[in-house]
Amino acid sequence: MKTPIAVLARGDLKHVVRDSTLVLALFGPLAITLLLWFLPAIEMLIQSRLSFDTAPYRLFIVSFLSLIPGMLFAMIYGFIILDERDEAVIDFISITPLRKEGYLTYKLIMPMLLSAGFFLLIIYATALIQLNPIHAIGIASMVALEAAIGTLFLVAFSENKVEGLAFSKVMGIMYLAIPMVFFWNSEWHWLSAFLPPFWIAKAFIHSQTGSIWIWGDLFFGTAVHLAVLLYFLRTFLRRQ
Amino acid sequence: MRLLAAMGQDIRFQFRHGFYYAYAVLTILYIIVLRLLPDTMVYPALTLILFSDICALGFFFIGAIVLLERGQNLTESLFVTPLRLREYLLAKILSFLFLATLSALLIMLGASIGGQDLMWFVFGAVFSALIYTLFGLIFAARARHVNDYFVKSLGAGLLISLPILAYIRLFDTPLFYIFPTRATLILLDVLGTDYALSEKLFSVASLLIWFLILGSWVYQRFNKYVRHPA
Repeated sequence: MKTPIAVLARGDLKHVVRDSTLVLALFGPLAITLLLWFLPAIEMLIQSRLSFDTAPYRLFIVSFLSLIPGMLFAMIYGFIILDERDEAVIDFISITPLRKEGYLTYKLIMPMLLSAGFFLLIIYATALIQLNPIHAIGIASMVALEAAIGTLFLVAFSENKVEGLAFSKVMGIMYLAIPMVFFWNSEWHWLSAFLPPFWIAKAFIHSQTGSIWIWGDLFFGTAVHLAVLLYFLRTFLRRQ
Repeated sequence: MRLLAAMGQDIRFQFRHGFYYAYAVLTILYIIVLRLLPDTMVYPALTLILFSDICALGFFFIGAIVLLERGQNLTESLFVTPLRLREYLLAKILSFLFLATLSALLIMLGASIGGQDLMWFVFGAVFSALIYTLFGLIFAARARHVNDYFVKSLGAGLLISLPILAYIRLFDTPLFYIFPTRATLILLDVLGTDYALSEKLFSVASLLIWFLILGSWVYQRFNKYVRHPA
């Protein structure tokens, strides 16, 4: 017997093969991976052309860019949901055995799996930094939750795809927490602790310096991610 | 008159959908960033902000707007009215020009940026914003959904943005002078860098020619796929 999820996944796969949008959409995350793969060469080029040493910024570059695939997947799935809502597809699905909850679960799990997968791929395939595997899994689960947060942010507050696009502009601000953690030498940078990427940046730094605080980052970071996720989920379900 | 009414309607639509709020937040953030940067970095940062976001905002939003209008069968009813296709398209690009100009102006005021080459700069910013929106409209005419629009338009957008490599001095070739983005990057950069008069004149001519080419291309595509769909 086919489960509703399998039917939905097969439908999506047909969709992908038919119009190849999602295959092409993988291009962004793959381009980021490739860019990081060549980062040592790019660093040398910048050093020789512009005599600017980027080595001290490598951890920042890796932690910032490793979150971009998550943001892209969040946007891709957010726009799929918005398109399907505008075309009333969600209303049709809500009367099938899958129901609205099943539909949403599926549409959130996909960006989560893809972004966590790409995160681990970027960290271990490029080997630009040495990250403890247990810490990496902890950070990857935050990255996954963040993708779901991004998708929900786009769909929870907007009426249609045009508004969703305006929200996607605002969503980018969340990632400002990363430069704030890395470059703002003041206790005031804790102001951005409510932004989920803040904790990922902290975890990167503490994991690299071998600080015991990494466990605090993973714990509080996951808690902040879950709290934001639940808030957006409630908002989305209430407004449906 | 019809054009003004259509433009007013487009601006109202953008306001209602939160574009002005989103850009108010981004404008304030850009001002803060520009104020925090060391003096030598301010002009290059301004150029990149305008190039990648403010002037490009029409490109970013136009796909979803046209899709929503087509999805609601709005365009079918619209072209029964006396509104001409040219007016419909002009209203779209001018309404985005209004938001981009407003945001750029506030950023420059907030970060106290100016200079003697301001006229070249303003021409560059205005025509870049118009061209970006036209570029988006080419893909919006046939897009099936938002992701479809972004994949196709961003692929072409990345290609057309290659002159950025010359701007950050990583790679240069005379071929880049064919691209409209080369002209954009020169004119948006005149406040902080000295360019020869010939280069500035060339950039103005390039943007004007690109505006006419893209404008007539968009008109033909909309005439074929939106006004008279098969």
